Amino acid sequence: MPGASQITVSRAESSTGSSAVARSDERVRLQDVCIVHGRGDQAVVAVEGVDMHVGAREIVSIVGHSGCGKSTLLRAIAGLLPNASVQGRISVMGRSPDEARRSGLISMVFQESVLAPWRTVERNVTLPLEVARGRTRTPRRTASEQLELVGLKGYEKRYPKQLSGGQRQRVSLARALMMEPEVLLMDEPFGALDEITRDEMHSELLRIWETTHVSIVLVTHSLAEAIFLSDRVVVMSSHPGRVADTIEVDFPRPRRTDLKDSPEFSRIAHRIRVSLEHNR
Amino acid sequence: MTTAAAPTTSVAEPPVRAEIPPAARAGLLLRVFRITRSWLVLGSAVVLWQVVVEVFGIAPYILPAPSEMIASFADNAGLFLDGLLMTTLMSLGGFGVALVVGVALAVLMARSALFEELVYPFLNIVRVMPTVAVAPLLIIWFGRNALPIIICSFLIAVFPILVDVAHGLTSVDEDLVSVMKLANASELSILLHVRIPNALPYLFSSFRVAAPGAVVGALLGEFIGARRGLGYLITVYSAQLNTAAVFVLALLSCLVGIVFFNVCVWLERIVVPWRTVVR
Ligand SMILES: Nc1ncnc2c1ncn2[C@@H]1O[C@H](COP(=O)(O)OP(=O)(O)OP(=O)(O)O)[C@@H](O)[C@H]1O
Ligand SMILES: [Mg+2]
Repeated sequence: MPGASQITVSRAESSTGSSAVARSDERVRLQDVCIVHGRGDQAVVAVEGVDMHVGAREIVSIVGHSGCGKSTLLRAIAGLLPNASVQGRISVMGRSPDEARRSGLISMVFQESVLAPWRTVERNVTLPLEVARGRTRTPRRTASEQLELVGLKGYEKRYPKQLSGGQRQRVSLARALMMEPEVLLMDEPFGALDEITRDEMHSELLRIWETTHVSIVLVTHSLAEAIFLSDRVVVMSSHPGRVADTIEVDFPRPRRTDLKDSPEFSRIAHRIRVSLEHNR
Repeated sequence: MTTAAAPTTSVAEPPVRAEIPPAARAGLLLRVFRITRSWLVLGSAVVLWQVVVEVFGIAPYILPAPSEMIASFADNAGLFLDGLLMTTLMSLGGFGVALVVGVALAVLMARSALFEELVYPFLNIVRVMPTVAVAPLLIIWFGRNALPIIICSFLIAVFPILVDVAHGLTSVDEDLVSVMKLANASELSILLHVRIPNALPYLFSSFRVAAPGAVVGALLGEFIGARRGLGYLITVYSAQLNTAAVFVLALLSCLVGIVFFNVCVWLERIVVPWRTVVR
């Protein structure tokens, strides 16, 4: 059942809104989005009829079976796909994804940290700023402050090779935040980490999110991760990818790790699991 | 003394500590042996060579004794060192041109699919063309001077550089390119900040093949048409059946190759400490 119930939760706007962006409640909106990979006989419909929205300071997760088009959807929102392959409407801060990307409104974190091994941690974090064309804003936080925020104070002069997987992913997050994006897209950002590190990163991410006002779209294979972090979980079906179900998660924030052990948490996890079963 | 030594360590330690000085001396000897043992083997082989030649009375034009080679070098030192210098210069020339042309072509190929499509078949023909067959032609065209020799050297050195650098420029992680695009980076900044640094380890790795290749190319050019250089001298002395001189010249050629190779390995360690590509 595509386009299932979508109740928008209005949340209290933070009074500390310091960015110069219009205070509309909506950061990302997808309307009837269809994405085709390749052309001619090779064409594959990756995603079809997707409706989705992400409000200001919201975290929305996307879950679904492997190959259902989650990464494709993120790349479309990021304006990284050729225009011809995307149909329907995608708007990010009221602009096309391409414009939003050019204005530096979007950052992305991937499963691998993809740092430049020839740069120190600090110079990895500043890389996006160094190459950003037409950018006039000076960042609120220096690279060191950004690293401190992600818990890597004192690691500025190290090389990526000298860090653990979890630390590298923190650097990757710091690099994404350096652009001070309005929308942060995360594609299985903790997928390569062990469970203990992953739990730690969840709390860290929430703490960082509280201080940055960024909206997050998170693709994940972990239902616990999706529920713990999100305001809304979007369940996708496969071949082609469609929105099968949208589940609101109303746990109050700030959330604590022991939330994961609550019966309500398990109930939501069960509901998502059933939804995934029905939409192979 | 035993009571004073390291109070924090376990009780079993003090007697062991007392024996450390002789053990350390033995360790030092062992280390010296480790470092020099390959030279010792080499030295023994040379001595054995000398002995075998003398005991069996092998004719010097078949296998000259090391002593005869040393004598030959001493007699012709000026001439041989001039050859060494020439070959080194020719190799450096060919290698330098190969570096510039190889990298430039690789960058063009990485930036333009059309360029790659148009140029690739042509490059492949040049690549499989044996340099031995081309060298005489080059000498007919350019005469007996440095140019054909440098071109021979270039022809052998350029392809490893071109192929590896092109690979290094294109084997950048797509997600890192996405990070750059999300910062609104231009294609040029992606090239400068991501593709080129990514290709550097590949470049240095290609030197391990290209640098000795440049020397082989120069020798080959000198073989076929030159009036100076190690390759030329080898043709002269082998025609005279002066085997000792040929051996010396071959060893000097090896020396150029070894020095080239090691300089490149050393540069690689300095310039790209973050990664070396394993072949
Ligand atoms: N560049 C491409 N060309 C052609 N088809 C593609 C391309 N990229 C992805 N696809 C196809 O599109 C579909 C969706 O891929 P996508 O990578 O978005 O899946 P995903 O949901 O992210 O999967 P996973 O959970 O395994 O990461 C898949 O069937 C895949 O084969
Ligand atoms: Mg994916």
